[in-house]
Amino acid sequence: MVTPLGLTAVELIPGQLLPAIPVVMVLISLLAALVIFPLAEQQVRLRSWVNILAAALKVLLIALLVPAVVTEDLRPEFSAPFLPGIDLVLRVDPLALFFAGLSAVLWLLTTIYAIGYLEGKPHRSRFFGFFSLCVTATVGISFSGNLITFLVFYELLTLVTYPLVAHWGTAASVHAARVYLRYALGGGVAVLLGVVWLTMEVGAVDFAEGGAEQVAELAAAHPGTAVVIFALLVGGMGVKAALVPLHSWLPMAMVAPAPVSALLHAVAVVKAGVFGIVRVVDDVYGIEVAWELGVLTPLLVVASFTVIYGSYQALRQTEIKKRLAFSTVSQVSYVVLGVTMFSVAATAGGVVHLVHQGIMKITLFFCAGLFAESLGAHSIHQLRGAGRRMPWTSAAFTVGAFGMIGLPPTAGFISKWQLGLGALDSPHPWVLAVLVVSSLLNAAYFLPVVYALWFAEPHRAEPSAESAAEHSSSSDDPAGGQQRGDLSADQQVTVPAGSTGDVHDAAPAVPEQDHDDDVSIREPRTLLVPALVTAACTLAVGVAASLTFAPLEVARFIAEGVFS
Amino acid sequence: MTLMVSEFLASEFLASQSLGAVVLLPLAAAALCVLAPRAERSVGLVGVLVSAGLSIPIVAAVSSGQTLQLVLGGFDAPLGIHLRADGLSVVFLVLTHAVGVVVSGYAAASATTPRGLWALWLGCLAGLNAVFVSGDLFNTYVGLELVGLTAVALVALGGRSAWRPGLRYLFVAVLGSLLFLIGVGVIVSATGTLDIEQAAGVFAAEEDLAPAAVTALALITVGLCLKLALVPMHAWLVAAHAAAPSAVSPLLSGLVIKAALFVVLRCWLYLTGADLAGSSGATTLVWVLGGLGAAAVIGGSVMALRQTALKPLVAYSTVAQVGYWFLAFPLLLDPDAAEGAFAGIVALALGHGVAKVGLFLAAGYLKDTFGTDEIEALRGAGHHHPLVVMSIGLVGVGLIGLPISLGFTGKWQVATAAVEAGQWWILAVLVAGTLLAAGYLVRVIAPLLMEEFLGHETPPETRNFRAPTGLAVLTLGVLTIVTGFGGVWINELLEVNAPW
Repeated sequence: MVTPLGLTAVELIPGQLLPAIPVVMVLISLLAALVIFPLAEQQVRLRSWVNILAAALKVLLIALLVPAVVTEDLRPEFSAPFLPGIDLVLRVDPLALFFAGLSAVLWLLTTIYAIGYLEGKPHRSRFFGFFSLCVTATVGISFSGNLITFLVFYELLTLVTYPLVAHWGTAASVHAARVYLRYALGGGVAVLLGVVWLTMEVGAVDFAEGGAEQVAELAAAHPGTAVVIFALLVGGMGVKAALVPLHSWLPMAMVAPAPVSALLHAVAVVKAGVFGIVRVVDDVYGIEVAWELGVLTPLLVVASFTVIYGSYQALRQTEIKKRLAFSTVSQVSYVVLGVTMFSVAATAGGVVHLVHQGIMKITLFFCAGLFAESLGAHSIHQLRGAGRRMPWTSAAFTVGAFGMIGLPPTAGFISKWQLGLGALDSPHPWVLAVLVVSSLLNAAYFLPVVYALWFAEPHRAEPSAESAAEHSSSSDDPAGGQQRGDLSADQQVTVPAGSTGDVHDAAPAVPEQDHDDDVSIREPRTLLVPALVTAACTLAVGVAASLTFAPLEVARFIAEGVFS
Repeated sequence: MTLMVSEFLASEFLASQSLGAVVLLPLAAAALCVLAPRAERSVGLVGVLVSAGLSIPIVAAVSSGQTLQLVLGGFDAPLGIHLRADGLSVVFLVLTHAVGVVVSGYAAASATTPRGLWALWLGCLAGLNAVFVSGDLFNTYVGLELVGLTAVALVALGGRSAWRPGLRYLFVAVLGSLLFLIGVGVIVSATGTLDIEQAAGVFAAEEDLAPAAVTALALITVGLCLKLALVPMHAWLVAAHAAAPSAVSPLLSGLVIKAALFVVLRCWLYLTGADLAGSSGATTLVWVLGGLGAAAVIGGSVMALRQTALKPLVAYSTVAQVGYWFLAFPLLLDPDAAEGAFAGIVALALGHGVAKVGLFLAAGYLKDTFGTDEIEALRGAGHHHPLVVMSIGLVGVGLIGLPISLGFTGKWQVATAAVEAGQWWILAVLVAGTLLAAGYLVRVIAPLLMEEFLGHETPPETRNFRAPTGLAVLTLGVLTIVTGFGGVWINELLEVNAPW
């Protein structure tokens, strides 16, 4: 989020255009989706251009909004009538901008990654169409100015992710998508009930810094009702946020294509859930009211349990993507941990982890996708010695893993440091122990992977690396094996002879290189560059955490607003 | 000049004359179709478009806040006949024409449209329009009969296998009309008039007529619920709607049953009004209806989940959706919640009209293309017909009741009204219905997204982006979402001549 120095927002954007920006940002992604859907499979170039142009435009608009919202304290707002007495409201406040910025930047990178990843595979128009809709929903969620608007985009997100999870069309992926839908719709209904009830009690609730006044009055008059509504809202959102015991859909959804997993874990579904929880705690109830109601501590306990349980489960997985999935379950709850500890520093830590976790986790998923595509590696033992053959990917993975553990100077260190400070400052110093145990577990499940990458001898138990990869991918992991099999079949059938592309050329070259374990593999650039960029970001936001518009500073600004 | 034209178009004269024309012209076009069977398709299309065009000045006039009235032949009621259009009439007119035009486009483009469809469909359209703009109960009856008989004939166009369901439908339709007619007879003997406004005035003035009103209402409601297929009177609907031709099922499910719903709402809210709130008979009746509605929502959805073929599944979904409208009936007698519940029922009915027509068209499209509507045999159909699968997804949003759609708006209004009235069980039914609807729609969509083909060895290679039939389906999908923004407009329209 670089801002043009020396220019104020008013010079950059005329004041009357400012309120249009949030709705324009939602429409850009929607329009991209509508343009992409009817495109033929072969129109790769046009589709890629539409995708990248839309994504870049959004990053630009976010950059324009930053000074207006943060420095000049403007709140661009757009509203349209929707239900009787209730408007659809899109409003940009610092938290909205923070989340939208994350989604805009990561969408751009994931789009580039996905274009490379899906080269030559079927149904790309459908994929990118829903991908754009997914981002439409995410932007809408971040800019939502009241609970109804939030609900609208929240449900939209549920629906448009379904075809993405089911993308490969195998029995396993359709099943996983169905489980996902069951969980997400169930959660959505709980949120809907909460919103209906709250609206009937106090009228339409606008998000407001420090909480909505009517809700505070409700909490004072009928604390029981307020607690039940809180439970419905947070319980519903906890499904997407993968709070234990509502998390089972997440590891299953790993059958989705790698860019989808990356987006799901870093910005879209899981993040939408925690973002919603942050909104409910801070902007609907207000942290003071929530504290007095006594709803924060139970949520804190659930989050702590999720942090530890997720890490423990991650330790038990042998498949890379599954391990990363449980790691997400654990890491995302840090955000909940932060906002429920009831201290300024902890809230800042939680909010900043929204962004930090996104950057780090997307790096890891990009790398996991790269390993799978280039080496056919799905489980951790297949990664042995990969550092020599794919040094850049392995380096990026290492940075992401160190970030997750919380080693300086990565983004993860900043999050954990801030959360630790917050824990000591809060009424719950025991959370520090949770952080320490979790970090030890993080180290226990990430360091072996890093060790395998760089220091282990290449896996040679089977006659040849190639057949080993083939063998294990078909026996250890039926879903993954079937998926790969289908894919290669599809590639042969559907790719026209004339279609070219550096990725496609590189991918079939893998089996030949597999015979020689020491020859380095040239990773497809469209896949490698996004991974390197996010890895660099992981380091940069860690090193430069105290700069003006660095995530940490913005998060502190937001946290002060919450407690003001 | 243009000013004069626009003034003319906006004039009350044109609008009120259109009330008569919107009934008579489709009838004339239907007659023309019978006389010139070779040109039936073009005549039919023109007839539907003309009817749609005539409805525009009516909509424009009513949305400016006035109730339109046309006195036929210059005789005043109770002797003469009044045509009347208020907010409730207009929202259903808009639904009928928006959906009717799209389905007509599909029927005109589809190769499987049976001969004779156009005359019957135009007759049905005339009947629908007559019901919606009728100011008195006898015209309502005539309109309902016209709709019912043409609908039966439309079902019978489905060929020999459709005759038996068609016959069953005929018995139900006639029985329903008879009960309605007896109810009307009770009203006439009690009030001395057929005109709805005059009868409402008499009911409001004389309190001792309440028992007669409840009796009439009970007869009318039972009769119309037969036509609406409210559980347990629903079995005929599944058979008839599933057996009808591709272009017909959507009309039956989306529009024909709406005529009966319209009359139920008209009689409950406009004819007898709020004076029944204290009557124990009416209270019992609404609670029975509410209970049956709940049973329909749950039972219909569960039955839909258990179907293996597409069209019966969609038909059971209609049974479930009919339940929603009656689920909210107990709220209509609660003065705090009535307005919200009424708006919610109307929004749900309109949303269902658009979405269900879309789903039935999509089902018909798939059946016509693949020769079967067994869900298992349609595996992988999304590969070559992505537009249709997409449309199923879009109308699914409306049928499940997710935002943004009228289905959501309606459920929201019913839910808030239920909370207002303290009827939490309605909320529970709404939630269960929503989740079950998601369940049966996923059962439809998931196999279509699968990669493998089953049941047909050489999949048709045509992509459906340019096929008009596919576009018609997509139009309804898009309409499902776009109309979701219309909730406020509908509520404003319903204010015109509102029953309170």
